[in-house]
Amino acid sequence: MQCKRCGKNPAKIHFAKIVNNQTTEYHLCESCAKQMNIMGANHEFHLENLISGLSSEPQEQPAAEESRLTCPACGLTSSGFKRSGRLGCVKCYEAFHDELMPLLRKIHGSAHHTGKVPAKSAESVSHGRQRDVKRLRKELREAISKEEYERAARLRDDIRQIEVDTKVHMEGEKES
Amino acid sequence: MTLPLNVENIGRWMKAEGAPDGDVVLSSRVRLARNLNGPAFPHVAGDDALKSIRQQVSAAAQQSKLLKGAHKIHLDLLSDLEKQVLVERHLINQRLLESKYASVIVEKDEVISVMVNEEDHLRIQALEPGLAMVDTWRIADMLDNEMETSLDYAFRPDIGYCTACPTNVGTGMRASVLVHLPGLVETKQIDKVLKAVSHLGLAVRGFYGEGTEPMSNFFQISNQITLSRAEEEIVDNIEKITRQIASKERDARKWLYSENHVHVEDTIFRAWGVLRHARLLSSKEAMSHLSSLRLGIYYKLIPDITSQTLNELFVLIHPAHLCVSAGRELTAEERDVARAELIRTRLRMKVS
Repeated sequence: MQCKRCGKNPAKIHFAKIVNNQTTEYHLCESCAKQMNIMGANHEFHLENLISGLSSEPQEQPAAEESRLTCPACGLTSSGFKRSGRLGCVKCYEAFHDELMPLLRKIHGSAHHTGKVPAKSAESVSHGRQRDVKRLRKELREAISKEEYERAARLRDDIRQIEVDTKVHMEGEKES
Repeated sequence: MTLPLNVENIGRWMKAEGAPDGDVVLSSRVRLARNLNGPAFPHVAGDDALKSIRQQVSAAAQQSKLLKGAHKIHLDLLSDLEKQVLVERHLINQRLLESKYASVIVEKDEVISVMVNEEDHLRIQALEPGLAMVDTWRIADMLDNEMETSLDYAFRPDIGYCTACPTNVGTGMRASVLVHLPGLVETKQIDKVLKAVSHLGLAVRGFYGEGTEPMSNFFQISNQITLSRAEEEIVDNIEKITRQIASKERDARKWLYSENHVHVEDTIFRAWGVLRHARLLSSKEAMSHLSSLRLGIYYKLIPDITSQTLNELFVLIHPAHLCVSAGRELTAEERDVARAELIRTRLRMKVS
């Protein structure tokens, strides 16, 4: 098989990347693979290189608005994030919240943490989750009124998940 | 600064006898990405911030019971060769070499380690021999708890541990196993198996030694999704899937032997002959024969050699290890000589 990129050399590197059931197949020769930085440092396929492709299309946002999106703490801009695929600091998660959430859903299938909680944060978490539910309910009402049913379904699932988790969490507390 | 590690030997993770599913699974690894609440992530942070992060993590490690007697290694004080030794031992990755004010804290058995100022402020790692995903997670979890008593982590209730790259957010956990699948490769079932695995939210890739060629028949399987699943669920998933792959691999090995045992034995004994007598061995050739020999041990064709001896060789035959053992830089040909000699010596040693 020939390399699908240059069409000259025999393809030596074959792999399929499957993210949320979307398959992309690569058949490349070594030099094209190197050029595409598929075997970068540590020979890992760098997922962050794909992030710029995953995040919402730039034309969806007017240029003026985008340039205003800057993290107040570290100064990272929205376009800087899209370029590098990496956030600058913990406050970036607030600054870019609106574009980050759909991105996290694309990468992980859902954007809701259900794993370990640092002992220090454990108390504030159940309180925080109740606040989340309120915010999500508001978003859900908005989505329904705008007839964005796919988004509404996702929000409904997120709310359900939080409610289940909170219940488990509270039951766990009662036991201990 | 000289490396406080014994380069003639390797860490406990590859030495333990009778590792669970050790005939197929070489090691289990868990890595947790953590950041401090406040300072920018390493790729944005300034020099002073990076120094302060390093100090805070170092102080936290001082308090940790699990890291008692651990070596704190500042990368800026090492030679390039010594840095490569750490990479070859899987204690650090290439990315840490590109970071400023980077360190690694290594416990003396090399089972647990903490990279400082890599892509995230902390990368907590645990590495165990064989298929021991759940235990490995427990160790990493315990160390994480210890570090947390003196550090304030960047955490948000909605999306979990905040990391520089959105692909790590949530649990910040990457769990992986290193597997040896010569049977599935030889019977051409490997693509089918790997494809099935990737449909289950896991990533599979060839395991790389030197260069870009995947090492013979070695694969690394890891979780792709870090958010919206609990850590226990992720490690349990990998452990179960790996157990199934191991059983398929054993079926393939049995089938190969019953189908044409002369061919199987020929490959293995040729490898045995080359490794015991060759005077020049490239990394690639050595790995390929060591892979065959590992299979020979499984079939009980090779007496007196344990797969632990081979696991050790998989690390020690890498270029930086050969150079540091020799006490100087070696040319490619000198390395091939040293590699052949090391393998000859190790394979002649009787198991005591």
